[in-house]
Amino acid sequence: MDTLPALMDGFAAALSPHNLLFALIGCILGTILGLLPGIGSTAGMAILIPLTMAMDPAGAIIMLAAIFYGGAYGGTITSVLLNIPGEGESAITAIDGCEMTKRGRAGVALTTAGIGSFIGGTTATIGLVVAAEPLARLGLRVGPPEFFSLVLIGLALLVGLVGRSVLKGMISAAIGLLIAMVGIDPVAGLPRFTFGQAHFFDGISYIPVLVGIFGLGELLASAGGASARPKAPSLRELIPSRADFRRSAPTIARGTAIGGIIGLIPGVSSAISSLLAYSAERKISKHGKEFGKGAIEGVAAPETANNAHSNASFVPLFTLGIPASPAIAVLMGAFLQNGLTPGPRLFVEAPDLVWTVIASLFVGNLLLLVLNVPLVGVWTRILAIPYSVLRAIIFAFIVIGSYAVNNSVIDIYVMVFFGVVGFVFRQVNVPVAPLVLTLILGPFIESALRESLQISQGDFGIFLDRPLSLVFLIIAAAILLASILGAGLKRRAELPVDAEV
Amino acid sequence: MQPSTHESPPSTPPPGSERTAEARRRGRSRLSAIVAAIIACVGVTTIVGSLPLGYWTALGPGPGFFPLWLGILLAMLGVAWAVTEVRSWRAGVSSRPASAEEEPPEYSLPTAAAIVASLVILAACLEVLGYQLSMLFFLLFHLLVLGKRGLLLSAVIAVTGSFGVFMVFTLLLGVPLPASSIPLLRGVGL
Repeated sequence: MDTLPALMDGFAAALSPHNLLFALIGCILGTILGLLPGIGSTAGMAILIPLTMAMDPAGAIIMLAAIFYGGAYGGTITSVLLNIPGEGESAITAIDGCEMTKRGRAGVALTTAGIGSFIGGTTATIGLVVAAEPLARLGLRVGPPEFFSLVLIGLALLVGLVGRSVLKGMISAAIGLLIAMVGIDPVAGLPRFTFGQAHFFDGISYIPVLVGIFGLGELLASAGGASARPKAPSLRELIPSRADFRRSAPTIARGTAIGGIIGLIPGVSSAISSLLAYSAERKISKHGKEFGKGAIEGVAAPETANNAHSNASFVPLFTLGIPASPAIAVLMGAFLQNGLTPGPRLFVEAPDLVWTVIASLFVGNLLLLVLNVPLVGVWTRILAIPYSVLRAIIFAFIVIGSYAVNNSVIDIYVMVFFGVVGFVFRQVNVPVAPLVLTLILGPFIESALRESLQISQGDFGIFLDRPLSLVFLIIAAAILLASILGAGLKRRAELPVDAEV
Repeated sequence: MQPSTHESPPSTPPPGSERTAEARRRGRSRLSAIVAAIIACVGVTTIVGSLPLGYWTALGPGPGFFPLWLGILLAMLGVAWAVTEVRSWRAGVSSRPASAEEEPPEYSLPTAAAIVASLVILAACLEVLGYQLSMLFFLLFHLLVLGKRGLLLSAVIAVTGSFGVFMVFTLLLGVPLPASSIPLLRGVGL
C-alpha cells in the first residue's frame, strides 16, 4: 500500500466523530490522572485500559494514545507549578519550570512546553510515517535468534540505564518473565505455574498486573501525602514574548532531533532523552548560565525531547514488535488484549488499523495543544478536589476495571497482590520498568529462544553463528558490562532513578 | 505579572529529622534483605516447579527449559542482593549513601494497610453482597473514615459510585457487574 493514500485513509478514520470523541475523552482523563502526584502517563494508561475494553481496537488504541499524551501533559503541569514531577521524564522540567513559576512565568513555561511537545511529537510522527513501512519490511526478515538478541539489547539498556543498581534491574526483569510464564506453555500445551486454578490457564492478565504495580502501588506509596494546591496562571500570562520564542525555537529543534533519534533505540526511556536534551542545551545555549534559575530553554528542551521520544518509540514497536518504554509496553498490552500483535506483520495483517493509529498520533498531538494549554486553569482546579475523594474514586475504578477483564474476582486479588508488590519495590528501590517490559514481551522472548533452539536442534551456537545476532549479543553484553562498571559514574552523572521512567 | 504562590511539595522532610531518617534507612535496609530472601525463595520454588515440566523434548527445549534457567537466575540474584544488604547492615551503614532524590516518597503504613485490607474485603464481598452494597460500604469507609469527609458529600459520592455506576455499566455499557448471591438481596435488585 502506498504511504500517502494509506495515511489519508487513516486520517479519515481517526477524524471520524466517534474516534475524535475517544481521543478527546482520553486527553481529558489522561490530563486529570497525570495531575495526581506520582501518577504519570504509564500509570494513567494502566488505570484506564479497562475503560477501553468494550471498544473496537482502533478506538481503544486511539483513546489510550490520547491518555498517554494527556498524562504526560498533566505531569508537566505539576512539575512546573508544584515542583512535583509526575514521572521521570518531567523531573528535569521541574528544575527550571518551577523557577519560572516563582518568577510569575508559569504560563509561559506551560505554553512553551505544550508547543515544544507538539512540534517534537509531530516531527517524530512524520518520521514514523516515512520510515515505518520500509523498516517493517526489513523487520519481517528478522528471525527468532535475531529477535531474541535484539530484545536482550533492549533489556540490557533498560536494566543498565534505569535505577542505580543493575542487580535490582535484572531482578525486576526476571520477575516480569516469571509472571509471563504462568499459563499454558506455548509449545507443548502444558499448564505451568497455574496453582491448579483454571483461571490462570490463559496466563495472568496484563491489566490487573499493570494496574496493581503502577496504579495501586503508586497510590499506596503516596498514601500519607496530601496534595498541594497550585495557583493557575491567567490566560494573559500564557502568551510567550517574542524573546521567549526566539530563545526557545532553536532549543525545540535540537530537542526534536535528540528525542527523535534516542526514541528509536529500544529500551531507552524518554527520561534519558529529556536529560540529554537538557544537558546538551546547557552546554550549547548562550544562556547556559541561567539554567537552574528559570531559563526557558530548560523547559523547552526536555519537554520537546520527551514527546519526540515517545512518538519515535512507535517505530521499534511497529517495525520489530519491541516496546521501547514502559508506557509503550502498556500500549502493546492493549494491542495484545485486542488480539493484535504489534510488529512488522501488523502492516500486512491490519494496515488500516496501523495507519489510523499513526494518524491519531497527529490528531492527539494537536488536541493536546489546543485543548490543554488554554485550559490550564481548569486542570489546576482539579487539584482543589480533596485527594482522599479522588483516591476513593480511583480505587472504585481500578476494582471495576480489574474485575471487568474476565468478569472474575480473582483478577481483583491479582491486582491487589501486585499493588503490594509495586509498593514494596518502590520502598526498596527496585525499578518496575524492566518488569513491565518483560511481562509483555515474555511469551515472545521465550518463543524466540525455543524456536531458535529448535532450528539449531539444541545448539546454542545459533546465536553466535548468525552475524546479526552475534553483533546484537556483543552490544547487549557491552552495555550490561559498561552499566556494571559505570555504576559509580552514573551516580555522579545524576541520571534519573525514578522507577517509572 | 504576579508571582504565583504555591505550597511547598509534601515530600520535603521536616528539619532536624536526621535520626528518624537514619532509622527509616535502617528499616528499609532490613526490608531489602527480607525482599531479597523472598526473591531467592521464589527462584528456588521456580526451579523445583519447573523440573516435572520436562526440560527437553524431541522437538527441542521443553516447557520446563525456560522456567528452570529463570529460576536459577532469580535465585542467584536474590542471594547476591541479600548478601550485599546483610553485609552493609552488619557494617552499620545503609547499602548506599541515600541522596534526597533516591528516597521513596513518604507513606503512612496504617493508611496503606487499611487500603489493602479494604480492597481485599471488597473483593471478598463482591459476589456475596453484590457490587452495589459492597461498593457503597467501601466508598463510605474511604470517604468518612480514611478521608474524614463530611457525611453529605460522602453519601452522594458513595451512592453515585455504587448504584449509579452499576446502572451505567449494566444498562449503558453492557458490562455486567456482580449481583448478590443471597436470594433475598438479589430479589430486591442488589
